[in-house]
Amino acid sequence: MSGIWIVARKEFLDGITSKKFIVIVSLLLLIFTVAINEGIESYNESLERYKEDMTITKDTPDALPPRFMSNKPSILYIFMNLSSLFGLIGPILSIALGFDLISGEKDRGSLKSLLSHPVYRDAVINGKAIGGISALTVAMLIVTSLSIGFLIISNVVPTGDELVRILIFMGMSLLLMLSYFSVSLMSSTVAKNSTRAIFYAILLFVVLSYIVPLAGFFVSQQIVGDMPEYPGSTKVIQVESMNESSDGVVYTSEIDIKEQEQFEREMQEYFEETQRVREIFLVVDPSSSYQKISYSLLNTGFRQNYGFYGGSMYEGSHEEDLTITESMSGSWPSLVTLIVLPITMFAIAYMRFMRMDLR
Amino acid sequence: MIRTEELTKEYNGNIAVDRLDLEVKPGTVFGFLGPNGAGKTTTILMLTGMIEPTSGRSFINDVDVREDPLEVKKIIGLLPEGVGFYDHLNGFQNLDYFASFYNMEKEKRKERIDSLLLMVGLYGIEQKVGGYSRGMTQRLGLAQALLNDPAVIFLDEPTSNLDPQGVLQMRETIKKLSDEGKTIFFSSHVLSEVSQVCDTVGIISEGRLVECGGLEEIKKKLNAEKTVRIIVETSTKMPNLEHKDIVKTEYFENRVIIDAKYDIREAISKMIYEEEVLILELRIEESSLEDIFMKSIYDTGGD
Repeated sequence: MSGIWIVARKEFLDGITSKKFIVIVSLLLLIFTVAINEGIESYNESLERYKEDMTITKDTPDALPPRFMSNKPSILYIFMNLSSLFGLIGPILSIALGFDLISGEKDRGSLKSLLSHPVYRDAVINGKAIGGISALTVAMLIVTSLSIGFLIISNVVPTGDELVRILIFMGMSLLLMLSYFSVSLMSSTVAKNSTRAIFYAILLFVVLSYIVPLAGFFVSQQIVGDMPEYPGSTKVIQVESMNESSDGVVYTSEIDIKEQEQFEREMQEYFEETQRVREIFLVVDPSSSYQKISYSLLNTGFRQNYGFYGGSMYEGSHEEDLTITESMSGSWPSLVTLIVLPITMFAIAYMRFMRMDLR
Repeated sequence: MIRTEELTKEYNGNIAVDRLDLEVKPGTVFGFLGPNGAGKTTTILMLTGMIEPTSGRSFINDVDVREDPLEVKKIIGLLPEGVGFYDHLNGFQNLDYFASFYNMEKEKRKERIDSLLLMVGLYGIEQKVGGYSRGMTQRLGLAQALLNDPAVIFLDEPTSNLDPQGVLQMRETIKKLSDEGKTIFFSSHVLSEVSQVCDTVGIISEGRLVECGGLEEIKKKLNAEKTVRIIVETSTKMPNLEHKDIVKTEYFENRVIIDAKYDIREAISKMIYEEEVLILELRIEESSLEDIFMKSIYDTGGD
């Protein structure tokens, strides 16, 4: 067995047999169980409403206009809760798994012992990455299998399309974890000790997930300028022929239809512009990217557009269910983020480790 | 066996090792002596292929360390300073992990590890390394350095943090390895350690090799550059002594300390005899290794 696989095997076995791993898997299971349980409850409620509506329309076809009819709920909604919760917890668990991979070896002094034997440095860093990724993959496989099992036990059986979407969603969750695992591996390589490593990793998480998006918001406000003013808020019409109030003036909120349309167009442009600027900043945020992909994937009627009141998370028209490829079509930039970020972080970790001072 | 040519290492413009030329013959125990920060560890890390030199070359058994560090690692063993292991594994498991890099068969690997653990007194201890004492860790460190039965062994401050019994055990092990014909490169800032186990010595200060050779050879060399101290004690009051080679005298009641250019004990003996005084003691005071070490360090401006 070459050096890389010896290191990878040890890291994997260490990973899956460590107390840390057991805690991580248990926490993941807890998160998934709680989120899925809540999801199943609301799914069942929606299903009941849908069945009631179906019964009504079956007995009296004209009783409910189509737009008041409940949509048939999707199992995928069950996982919606999960994506936002996992977007926060997933990174923290990944950081916990990777922050001491290199710094821990430096702290203990085992790195010098290891490198004094015939193994290349790149085999050590690559092996550690492979071992860690494999451990995370096993964690996600366990959680995915148990989640699907939990659904089936609860009499919620996914269709083929739904199952594929769930599996892709789990894959994306794994990618999110890998992104932050690579962040923690990089921090572990750069930092002098494990305390600093975990601090750097959490700092990067906060910067990427909170500071950068916030900066994007402020920059977009600066670039695009003020929001268009609502014409109704300043319009005061004096109508002498109508019923007068005590001061002889009638205040009205009626707006000219053309002005309203003009305002809506301006608002649309405004939101599109701000969103475009914000998207540039969000490119580096794996959590936003993950949530965007998850939303597209788990909401089969979702079409990417810049909504009147904001971002791309808003639903477009519900014409018919989208295929998986169509759902993913607007998410490629987010997927690229979830792939490029770990590669970049790993490249930095690799270069830093190869030049590391071992004294 | 170990050879360096102008071996140099710079860290951010600071020279840690400065054009080091060194040759250690096969089968010798070489003591690499120097104060903390002199460049001992950096030299060892370069010689073992752990870090790359800024310039210069080094060879182990004629293998260029820079060109083929993996080949070098196959024929050497290293006990690094502050050696560490994986706390969650026991001694055997730690050694088994390191041994797996040598393409040894499982049975052979187990046999080798068992014999090494027996040698360092850790055989049969199932305790995790995290619970080891410093001495036990150091002994396990020695075992891991010998996993591949290396021809050349580097020991970086091997006795630091050891209790007196541990130091004695380490010394015995080094002697045993030396008897087996291994070449041992032993770094220390503890002079007594080096004089106890080494045949040849190199003294390094501020990255430069200031002295190198056999223990006696170095003593002679440095003694030649200084005066000889003669101590005389008589039964009655010490007479006044005059000789062309006396540089300095310090008289006490019946005792004198003389710094002379040469060993003039015979002449001094005659002078005292002529004064009809009985000599109780007449001896020359030799430089200790410590004196030589301090002289080497301070004469080159080391700390």
